[in-house]
Amino acid sequence: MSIVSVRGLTRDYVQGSIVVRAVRGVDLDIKDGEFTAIIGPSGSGKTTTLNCIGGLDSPTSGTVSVDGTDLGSLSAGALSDLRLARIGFVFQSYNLIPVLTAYENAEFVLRLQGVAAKERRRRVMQTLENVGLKGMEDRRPSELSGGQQQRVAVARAIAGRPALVLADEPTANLDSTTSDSLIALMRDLNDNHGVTFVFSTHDERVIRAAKRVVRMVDGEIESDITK
Amino acid sequence: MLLSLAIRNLRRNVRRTLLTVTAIALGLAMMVFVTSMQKGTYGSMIKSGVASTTGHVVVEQATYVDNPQATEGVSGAQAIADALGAAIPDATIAQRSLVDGLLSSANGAVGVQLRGVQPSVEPLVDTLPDKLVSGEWLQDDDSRGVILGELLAESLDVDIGDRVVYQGNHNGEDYSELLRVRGTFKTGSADIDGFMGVVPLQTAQKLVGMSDFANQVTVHLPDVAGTEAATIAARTALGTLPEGVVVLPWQESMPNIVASIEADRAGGVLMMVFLGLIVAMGIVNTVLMSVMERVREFGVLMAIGVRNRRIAAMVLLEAGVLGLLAALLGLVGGLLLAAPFIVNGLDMAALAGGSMEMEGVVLDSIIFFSIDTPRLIVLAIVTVVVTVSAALYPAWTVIKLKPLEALNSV
Amino acid sequence: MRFLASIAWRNLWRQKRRSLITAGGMAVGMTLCMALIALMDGMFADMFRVMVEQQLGHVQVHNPEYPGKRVMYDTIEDASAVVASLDALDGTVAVAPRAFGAALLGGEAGSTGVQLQGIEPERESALSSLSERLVHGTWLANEPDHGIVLGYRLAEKLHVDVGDSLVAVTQATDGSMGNEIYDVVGLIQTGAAQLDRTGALIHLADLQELLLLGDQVHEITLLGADDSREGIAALATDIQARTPDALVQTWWQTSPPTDQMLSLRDSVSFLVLGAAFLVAAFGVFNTMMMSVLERTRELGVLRAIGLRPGRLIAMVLFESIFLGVIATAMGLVLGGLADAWMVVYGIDLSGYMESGFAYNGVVLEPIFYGHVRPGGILLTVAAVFITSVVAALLPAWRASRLEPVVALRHD
Repeated sequence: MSIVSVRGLTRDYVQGSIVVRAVRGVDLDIKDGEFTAIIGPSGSGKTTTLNCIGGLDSPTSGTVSVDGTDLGSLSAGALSDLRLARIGFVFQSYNLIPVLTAYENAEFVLRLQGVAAKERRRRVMQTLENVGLKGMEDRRPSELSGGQQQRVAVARAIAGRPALVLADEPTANLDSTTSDSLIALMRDLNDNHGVTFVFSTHDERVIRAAKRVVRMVDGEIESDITK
Repeated sequence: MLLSLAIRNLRRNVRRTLLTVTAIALGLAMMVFVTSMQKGTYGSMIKSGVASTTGHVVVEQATYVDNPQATEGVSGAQAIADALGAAIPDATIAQRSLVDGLLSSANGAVGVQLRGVQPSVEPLVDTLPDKLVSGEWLQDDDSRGVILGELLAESLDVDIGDRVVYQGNHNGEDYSELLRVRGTFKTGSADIDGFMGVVPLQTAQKLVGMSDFANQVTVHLPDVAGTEAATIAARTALGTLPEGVVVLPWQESMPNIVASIEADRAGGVLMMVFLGLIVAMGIVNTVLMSVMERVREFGVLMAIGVRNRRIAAMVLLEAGVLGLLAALLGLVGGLLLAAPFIVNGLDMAALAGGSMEMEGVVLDSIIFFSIDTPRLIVLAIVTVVVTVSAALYPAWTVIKLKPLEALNSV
Repeated sequence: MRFLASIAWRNLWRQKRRSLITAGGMAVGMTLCMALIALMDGMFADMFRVMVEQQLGHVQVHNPEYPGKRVMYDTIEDASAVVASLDALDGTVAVAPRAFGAALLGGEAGSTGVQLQGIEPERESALSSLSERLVHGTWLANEPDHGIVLGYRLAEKLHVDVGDSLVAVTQATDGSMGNEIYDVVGLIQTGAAQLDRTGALIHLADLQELLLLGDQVHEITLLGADDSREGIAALATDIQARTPDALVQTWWQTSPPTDQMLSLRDSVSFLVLGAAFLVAAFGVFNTMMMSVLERTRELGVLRAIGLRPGRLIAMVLFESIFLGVIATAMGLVLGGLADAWMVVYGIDLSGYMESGFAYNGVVLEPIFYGHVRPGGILLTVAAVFITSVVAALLPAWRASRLEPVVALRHD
């Protein structure tokens, strides 16, 4: 069954007096266990599509359903709860909470979800180990390298056991070695822990690692290839 | 979790936090200082008023408060005083009268008010006997003695041992009496030093043609806190009183002083409101700035599923912690500022260039500040409330944030 | 410089909300100060009216022995001639002779000691505002007719009203006891506690007759055309030349306590300003510091392209001064409204006290009215600008100390 179901997604932005149509009638389904890259040139609408799936942005027309729930029918608060329970985010610029340690950043979502302390500790330690940050739990973001910060971001995204992790250009700020190991990590999480990933990316390495590649041009899906 | 996050956010920009806390604390410290001064001044006003006029509890004619007449008072004053003394053992009971008249010497005449007091009792309850600048205090059996204000003695051009003549008319009868100057006093108030004399009570009785009579029988307690109990005790002990005679606590017998305290307190509240407003504007700004800086961070929180309301709650919590810190610092700072004046007092006379006189009561020139605990608690609470209220607007801007816009903001 | 000022102005509007709130903080401070100063000036104006306009006049002439002791024998002799000569003096607006004496004033209900004040009604109303303080009845007639005007509290005490008669008993200058009957024609409420409680005005000639004073008075009070201190002092010198044997004093010499009380006004104003703006200064400092810190990079660019540190300081100070300008504009509007309220409606404390309240001999009415002085407003505006500059000094210095390279690297 599809975790995400996008139907006729259109998104307009108003810039001054001009209306820019960023996404034009996209249909897309994401199934459990996918490792999908949405690619395309800048301005092709991939980030907008991702944002609409994550409930950060709302469609001008069309529907986005996650777990069978139409996001358009949800209040802002209910959207928050849906994101908390079902969706993890990884951003291009890490976006960790600067005042929290690596451990606390990863733990944050679990606290919000109301997971008991003991269980929280077990899962966070496990997750940090999985992303290769064992021993760095007490460091603050400013004390970590870019790659390490992005690993914390991944840990934060998956710690809450979401159905889906949305990653917007996760490797854009990283050098190639770091990128490779991060991609390997995400692929490993996908293969061995069943985490579903959807990326928007330019990065060839991500595209090579992807199991499915959706190519967007000018707001429309040009090709959709499952390897 | 929110709380620890809030505290860490405050520690993130230590300088800004300290500045804001200091600004709020400064406002509070000023209010603490002013409040301590007010409490001290009120205490002094009440103390001086109680000591020199009505005592903590007074037995007098109900009409005497508004219209003091020399012939209106309590007959059988001694019996009443004895009964009061028995009923309230730790109190000092005084009998007092005020008699108007004309005092003349060979050099002229002045319209005066003579205060009739019991010479041996008065030094126990009032400071006037300590303010003699020449001569000696009255003796109980000295029915001719009079103590004059220094300026009054100058106007009459009389010295110790000189004679002055009292003339008065009460209930249609003329009275006149020869008195001898035993001493002069100086309070610093021109109205009192220029127009007031002191005579033994029995002389005052003679000047209005009565015996065993006083305008007021006053009860002086060791502590003002005992007023209510003493009033009840006095009423019980005296039982049925002659018609028109009442037992009043000082709050009712000195309505003008109480009113001026109330009015001054209201002024203090007004000052507090304005200072609070200035402080609040500063807080709005700091909190707003710290919110604006973190919009992107809030976007992330929203993306990972934190409701806007919880983020706003965190902002308010930050303000709350700020307010608590400031309240603590302000209270300590204000009390430290006030401490020297609590211990050594503030010489108001030196500041104002002379003694302060209110409604005929000369205030102690040195005002000892006093800690008004209930007021301080209110002030501390107000500080936290104002701080949190000032954060409402910034918090509201957080509520209205859209996750995507927040994420994309610089 | 103009260019710097223009950059500063634009910078201010980049963070519109922040600038307005900061200026608002100062504006509230201004409002507070203007309102409080107006209120205090109102109280001081009352004191001035009670002490100077009603009693002291500008210059007073006495027998050198009279002030302080006020013994009735220490008089100015040939008063009519002296008054006439002072009338002729340039720069005098009003000249009023007065005599004083104590008496026992009695009616049917009782008697009390009073201060009789003998005045020439016409001259007195030209000089002092006493005649405007009538609350009941009429002013004394120009010709002596045994009329008497009483302080309203004295009348209450004696249970008399306009139309009643009173007997005054006193000791005359020859030592004999004199007495006379007077008819109450009016009651005054002056705000001077002593005058309201024990004051009784009669015609000068009536008092001279009662005390057997002849053509002697105790005091001649004058009002000059020029009411500045310099003018009054000059008038006093002229008067002294005409009355070499008399003691001629300006009102602040006659009554140093009144002078001291009035000079308290400025100290209290400074205290209020200091308190309010110390708190407001923190807001300004905060804003300017933020504004400098968040533009570290930008300021680095300015330094890199060759702006000298001193000019950077100037730019930041300009910004803060403009903040002061905005605050002043807002504050003048808000404070003006507050002042207007104080002048028109006042602060009504009659809920707390029914009647007035005597403070250092001056009865303050239960409704406090404000009095607006340009000086008070100027003082407040000055405080705003001083605060703006002082609070921005550290941020400005900080901006000037940025190393261009470090600043440019700043994220």
